[in-house]
Amino acid sequence: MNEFNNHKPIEQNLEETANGIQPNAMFAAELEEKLRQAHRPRRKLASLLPRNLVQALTGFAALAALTLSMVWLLKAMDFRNTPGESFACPVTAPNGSLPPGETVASKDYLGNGELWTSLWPDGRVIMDEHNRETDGSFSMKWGFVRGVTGPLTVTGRRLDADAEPLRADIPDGYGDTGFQVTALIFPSTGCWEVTAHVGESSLTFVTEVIFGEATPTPEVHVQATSEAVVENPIESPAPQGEAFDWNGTTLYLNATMPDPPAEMKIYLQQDEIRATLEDAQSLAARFKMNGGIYEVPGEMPNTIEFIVIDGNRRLRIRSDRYFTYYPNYADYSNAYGTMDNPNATALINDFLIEYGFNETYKIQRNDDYIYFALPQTPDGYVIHEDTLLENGLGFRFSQSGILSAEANLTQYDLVQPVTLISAQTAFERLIDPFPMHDNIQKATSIGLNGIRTWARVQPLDVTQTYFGWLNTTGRSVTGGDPYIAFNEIPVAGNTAGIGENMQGVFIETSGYYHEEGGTLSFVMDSWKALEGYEENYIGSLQAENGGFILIAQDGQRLTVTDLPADLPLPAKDISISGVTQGDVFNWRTIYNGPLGGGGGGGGGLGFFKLNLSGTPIPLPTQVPTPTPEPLSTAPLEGVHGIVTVTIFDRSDGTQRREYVFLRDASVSETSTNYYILEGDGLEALDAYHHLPIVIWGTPTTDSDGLTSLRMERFEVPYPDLKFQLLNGAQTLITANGQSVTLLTMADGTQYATLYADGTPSNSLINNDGDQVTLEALLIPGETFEGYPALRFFGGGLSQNPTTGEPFEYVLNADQPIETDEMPQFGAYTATIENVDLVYYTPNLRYNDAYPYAEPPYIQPVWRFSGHYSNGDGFEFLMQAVEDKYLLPAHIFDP
Amino acid sequence: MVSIMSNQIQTTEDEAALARLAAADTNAFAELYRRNLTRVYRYHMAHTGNVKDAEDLTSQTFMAALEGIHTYRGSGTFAAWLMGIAARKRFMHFRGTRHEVPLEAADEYPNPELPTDKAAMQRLQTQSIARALKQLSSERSEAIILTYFGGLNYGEAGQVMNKNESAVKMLVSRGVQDLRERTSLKMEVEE
Repeated sequence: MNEFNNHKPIEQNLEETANGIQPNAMFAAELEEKLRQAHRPRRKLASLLPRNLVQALTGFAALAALTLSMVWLLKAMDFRNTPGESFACPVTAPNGSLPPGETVASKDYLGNGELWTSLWPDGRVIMDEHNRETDGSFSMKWGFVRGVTGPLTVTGRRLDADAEPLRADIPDGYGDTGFQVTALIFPSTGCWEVTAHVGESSLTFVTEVIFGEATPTPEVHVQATSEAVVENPIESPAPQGEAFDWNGTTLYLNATMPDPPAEMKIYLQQDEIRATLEDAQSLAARFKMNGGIYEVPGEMPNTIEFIVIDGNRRLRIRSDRYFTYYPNYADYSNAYGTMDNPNATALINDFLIEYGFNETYKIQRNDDYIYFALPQTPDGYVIHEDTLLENGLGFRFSQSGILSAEANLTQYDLVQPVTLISAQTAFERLIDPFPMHDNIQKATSIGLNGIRTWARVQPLDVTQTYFGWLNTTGRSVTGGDPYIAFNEIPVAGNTAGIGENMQGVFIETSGYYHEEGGTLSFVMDSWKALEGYEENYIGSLQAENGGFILIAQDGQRLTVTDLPADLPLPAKDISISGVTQGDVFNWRTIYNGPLGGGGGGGGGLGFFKLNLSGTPIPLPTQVPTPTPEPLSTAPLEGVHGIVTVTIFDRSDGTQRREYVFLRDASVSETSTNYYILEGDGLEALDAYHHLPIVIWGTPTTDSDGLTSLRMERFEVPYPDLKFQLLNGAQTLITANGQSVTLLTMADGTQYATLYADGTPSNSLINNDGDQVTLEALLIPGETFEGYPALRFFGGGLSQNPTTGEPFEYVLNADQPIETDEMPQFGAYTATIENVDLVYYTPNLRYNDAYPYAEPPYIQPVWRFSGHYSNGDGFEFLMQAVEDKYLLPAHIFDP
Repeated sequence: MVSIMSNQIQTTEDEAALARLAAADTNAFAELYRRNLTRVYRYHMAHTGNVKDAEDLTSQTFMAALEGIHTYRGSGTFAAWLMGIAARKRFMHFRGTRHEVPLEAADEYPNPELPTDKAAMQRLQTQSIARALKQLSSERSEAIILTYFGGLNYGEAGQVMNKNESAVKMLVSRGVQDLRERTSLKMEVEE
């Protein structure tokens, strides 16, 4: 059957296929919930346990974080309900006892060898409005670690007055030992004795519970301004050198500008010559390999390449220019990225000598921990390309040695000599706010740096059941049997039923690993293909009750065994692959890479084409880009809008409040309706988070276009207005040419839904007609096209579409947002640490058609390299030839 | 909570304003998530050909976006920034694990909401498109997937691929031509 509709253009097929792909609604919902949880780590305990997800806190570090993160500066607090002067609460002092599995000491730990907890500084628990329950009691998250097996219970009594006993919410899902989170509910402030019980074991402590509010005076530690705080968690030396304003970032030039030589050269890349069998044999001999040679599909369509396999070694050959050698292919395929190796230079030197790379190579390492052996041009320079790999040999390492040596060896011919501009001229062009000369950017960021891989070490000569990937080649070029690999280990033994060219088949197999003559192989007894594929989890690993447990991001808890002795525990943010068998996760590889990562790249016009005719052609005159008109700075007088309050928790335990005024867009006369508030007395807005206010103030706009408003005063037009949870059916309509979502209540009332700024919303939760619950404000008198209006600040389906059970919502739109302070990108600076001359040429490896409008020249460039203050590296390459060698057209221009 | 699917194309200024809010405002990030979930999911689905991997990669993409939202400075559209993360996650996924299940083994329909016959046809179409895309050069298939499945315009796709708009147009054009020739050949063989 032909799946393509041959009556339709291929473009239509593509569009229809794309439009037919929709994410599963439950997946979408669960992911949104996870993101919300990740965004707001301090929601009340009940709302941290959604319907079928358990948010497990990893390790005792979480316990400490729960405690330490709620530290307030005591001197700024207005204490109320303190015990009478005649009673001194005998608070328990911590003993610093380290809970099992924990490696980070804290003076706040209290433990007795069976149970542990973490105490508040000075034994005082500071409660605020966020902790107050509807019945007046105070709830606080509290963690315990069980060194004994059994469910945890917690009891408590007030020592300084009569009171109802302590209550405790203790969620399921934390197993029988180890960490257990709770919510302790103190019916009142005062002096409290708390006892945790597990079976016959118990741990008792006394703590003082206090209710405190921030004072309205400037002595309160939280700042009354909203200026951005520079917080750089990565230590870097203070910037040095002259500072320049560069695209909103401060650029420091902390390097000398070398003088250019009298001339450099223009070279021209030779065409790549695809490898023949003879070439493959010759290169295999160079690498002293005697194994089989196999033809395999090439990287590019309609091409073939060769692989040579000799034991665990592998050599892949594409051409005279591109080939890769793997000393142990299984190690390479299990590794995630590359690592720094202290012996890298020596290992590279040995490699070059052993395998006959006799030129002079310059060895460098980039920020991604890839080492390069860079050959030099006849005039003594290295050649850089516009990809991660440079022209030369790129080496990736594990802790034990070379994982791969990848060749990118461009061949070239001399064209002519050229003269150069100075480094100073190139730098001025780089920082020109109206650049005419484009640059090539290369950047590295935290991602692949130093990711450690652990591959499970299997016993030798012990028959067991294993899971993994089966790959086979075709027959060898000499007619020999296909090469068969299990997890990239060569297979011997009973291979009946394994055919040629099997790629990525997931199997269960019985057999044993065997080592002989330095080669590891797998001797197979039997095998069968499995449906599905290897599982991969991201989560944390920790010790628990004599064993180890994997706590996945989705809350699953699985036992793991046989972890490497050098894997530091607890290990957070790890990626682990394997197969689940019952409650045990049979792991195969573990990576400890970070989860973060940036995105996007540059783009741009590209370099100017080269003019090698000998007749200069003037470049176009640069026309400055018009400066955009500044936004109106006319005072705001009596402007309506919504205020948001965000509390940023800094890593040093302090907090910063940010106040934002979101102007009602319907009355906006400017292109912005978003103002960061400044001025005194902003804390008075704390009670009006997400509520309408009327404001007076003076706006200012910075160079990034962010607008601040120095608030003079504000009024609250609807002092009794409160948020509501509204249930109804949603429908999308068009009213007076505008698309808007209506919410129809059970009594027939219909509301037009608006965003926070009063603009109409046409968002739908799942499908048109579904019953939804919205956190909403009904502003008196607000309408939209004849409908009463509501402004919504959150919502979701009213019931589970699979089970029909109603969802429970906790209304929290009126709660100031509390989140961790993150470094502001605009606060990052960049420092140029080195300026030098190199050659540049485009990398053509993955281009089956040449994409540029001029031949692949190799030309000199000034390279400005350094780091941002967050540790990311950068390189900027500027054309170094004088303007007489440039055409007024770019390399992408036809 | 279930995702909100916006039915209207939002302006880039709107998303830039949301992104500024999103570092601190949960609802702002949630709105960005809802607006971009489908493009990210389609992108990963086109590359992996199976629902589980697409869901895993989509989750990873948005988690990484949440962690890095403060680094989005508004240069380039938010969609391009986000798809850059998606591309990186996809690269790491295929580099580190062997999740390229043969498409024929995929059980789940890409869209569970359609009637069975339409779902079956769509499944086959998705699989055949994904198979055909794998036969193109990586740059051409990436350009096609970013534009057709990721919903990016040429300029945005160029930001992700570090190429200019003209280069992306060329890659898409040649990639589509490639697909046209391959599917024509397939039809000839079957006929």
